[in-house]
Amino acid sequence: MSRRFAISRTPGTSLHGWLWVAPTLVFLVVFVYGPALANVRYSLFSFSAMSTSMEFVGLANYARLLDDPIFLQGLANNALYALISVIFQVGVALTLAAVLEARIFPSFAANTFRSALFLPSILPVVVVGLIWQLLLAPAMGLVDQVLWEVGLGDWSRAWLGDPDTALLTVIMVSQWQWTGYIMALFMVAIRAIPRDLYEAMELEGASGPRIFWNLTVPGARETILIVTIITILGSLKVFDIVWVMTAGGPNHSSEVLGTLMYRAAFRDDVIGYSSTIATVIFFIALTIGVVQIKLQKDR
Amino acid sequence: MSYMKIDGVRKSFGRYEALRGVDIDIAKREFVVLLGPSGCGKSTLLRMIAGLEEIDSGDLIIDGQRMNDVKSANRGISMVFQSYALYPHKTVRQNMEFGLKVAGLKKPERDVKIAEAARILQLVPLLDRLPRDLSGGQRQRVAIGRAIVREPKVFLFDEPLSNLDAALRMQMRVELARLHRELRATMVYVTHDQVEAMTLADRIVVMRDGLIEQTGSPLEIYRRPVNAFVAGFIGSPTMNLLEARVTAVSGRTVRVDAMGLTTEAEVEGPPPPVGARVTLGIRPEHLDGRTDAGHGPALDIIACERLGGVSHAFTRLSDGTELTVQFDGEQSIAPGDTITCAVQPGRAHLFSAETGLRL
Repeated sequence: MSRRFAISRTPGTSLHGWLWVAPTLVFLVVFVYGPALANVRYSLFSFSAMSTSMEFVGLANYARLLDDPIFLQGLANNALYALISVIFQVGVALTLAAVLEARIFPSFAANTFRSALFLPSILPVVVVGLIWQLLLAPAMGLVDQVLWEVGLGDWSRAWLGDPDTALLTVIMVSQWQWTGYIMALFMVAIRAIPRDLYEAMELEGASGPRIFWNLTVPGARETILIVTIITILGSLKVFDIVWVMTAGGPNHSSEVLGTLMYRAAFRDDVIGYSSTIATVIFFIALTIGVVQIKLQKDR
Repeated sequence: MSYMKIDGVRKSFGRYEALRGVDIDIAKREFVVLLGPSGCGKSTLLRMIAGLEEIDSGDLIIDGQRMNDVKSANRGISMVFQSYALYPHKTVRQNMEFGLKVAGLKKPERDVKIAEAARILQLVPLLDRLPRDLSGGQRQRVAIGRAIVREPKVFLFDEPLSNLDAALRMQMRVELARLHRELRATMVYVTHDQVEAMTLADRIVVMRDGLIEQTGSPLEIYRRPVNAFVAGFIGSPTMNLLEARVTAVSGRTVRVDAMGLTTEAEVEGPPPPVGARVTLGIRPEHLDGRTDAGHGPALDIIACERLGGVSHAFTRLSDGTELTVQFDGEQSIAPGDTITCAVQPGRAHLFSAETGLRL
């Protein structure tokens, strides 16, 4: 107590404290907050990366954005991406973690299953994208071949070339890659719930699903909240897997804000417009972050 | 008539044998305490009764039904855990209600049972609180309440008082004894605290290394321990166990000497021959300590414990053997003093020096 008092009251000690955090603070200002603020400023201009002149256009970029059907499509795609990701990476991953931690399977089987599910998360996203492109190739790909083999040839299609399935296919590949990783996080959270509580519920005759809802879910609440926020933010910022697999196509059907922003900046050379998209992503992410902090404080 | 029978129960964890053949018969409404040091297998046995551990071999019979393969929930038992195991996000009422809901009881029935348990355990004002808002003693009462509402055939307690402070532990001991009288329930209670065992049990089962050493009423075990281990484990401070030599034998009366401390004891089996080595057991409260000389061997006090009503003097004989002597609390003693002592007649226990068994 006296130590805290000394730190807050002594100017010399206070300066000392600031010196300790200064390197990180400088780094954050130069590489995070500065560029973020600069980006907001750029969104008010129209300019090319090839030119030094910038024309102030006020909120015109934002107005254009609201009239841009591709932006709205991208926003909707991001929302769908987030929704499915939350279902899989929170719902399915938590269920898998609970099942594996429930000691239903022999430990060898559980460990094998856990490793198999976790493995995709250690692969680079680009590699995952390319592997699945090959697997999903029409007619030649393993997926189609399996479908033909099991008598479901009618389901065969150009998964990434069909506007009806392109986005969902990319989303499912993403779930394949990350569900096992999130499952591992949930397993850690479940292990932190005292074993006695599970035994007490078992003694009271609770079924597996009842134990899941009455103990595992409330016990892992904190992790569920954080994972949900991380998953939504990740879905909002998604770029790499979409770019590698479909580049937002066909016909913008799998476009997300990340690919839209990238295309505006590096193909169409409308940096102001691209910054506007980035600013929108930033503020949506900021809002979600604030909600997360609020929810955690309320707890 | 046995209500719960544990017959030749064994349990191994890998190559480690936690229980090596345990037999206990428990009568209806009996309060049985499983007592022993850490690692003796008492908690494992309780968990096997609860169905939380599988029984490798042997039988568990409750109310005439073999329970080895019956699910925990269907064995008619309730368990109070050492950690209380209260569901942290549920209120006291919800904690008690959960098992009843699972059992499919309607709300009015649940409410009646909860109200009754809350009345017995004085939990009425706490029903809407979360466990984190309760003291240790209150949590313990909730854990007991959760067990009571299910009206089990057998209550199991796994060291339920070990997380409480001394004052609260004493209070809860009284509560548990009252509860046992009021509920007239069969209870199996695990502890390593012999005071808990002595004060609560109808019958104590003393265990060591996965085996039962002795079963009997608290006073029976206190007065007639079957071996030196039980003798040393029951009683506080622990019984003095001294190396002694037989100096005379007359019928079943054996006279022994341990570094000048002489006494006589009755043996039940064949008496040992004169000159044989035996272990002499004397409780501190059965030694008459004096501050004047000539009363027995000289003992140097190395430490004193003053408990008010009585004092315990931790002393050392000339050969380094340590001996604890109980004095009246009014007696003036201090470390560094020299005292003498004698054994009260008929209070000594004799054990075989080789096997540790009572002679």
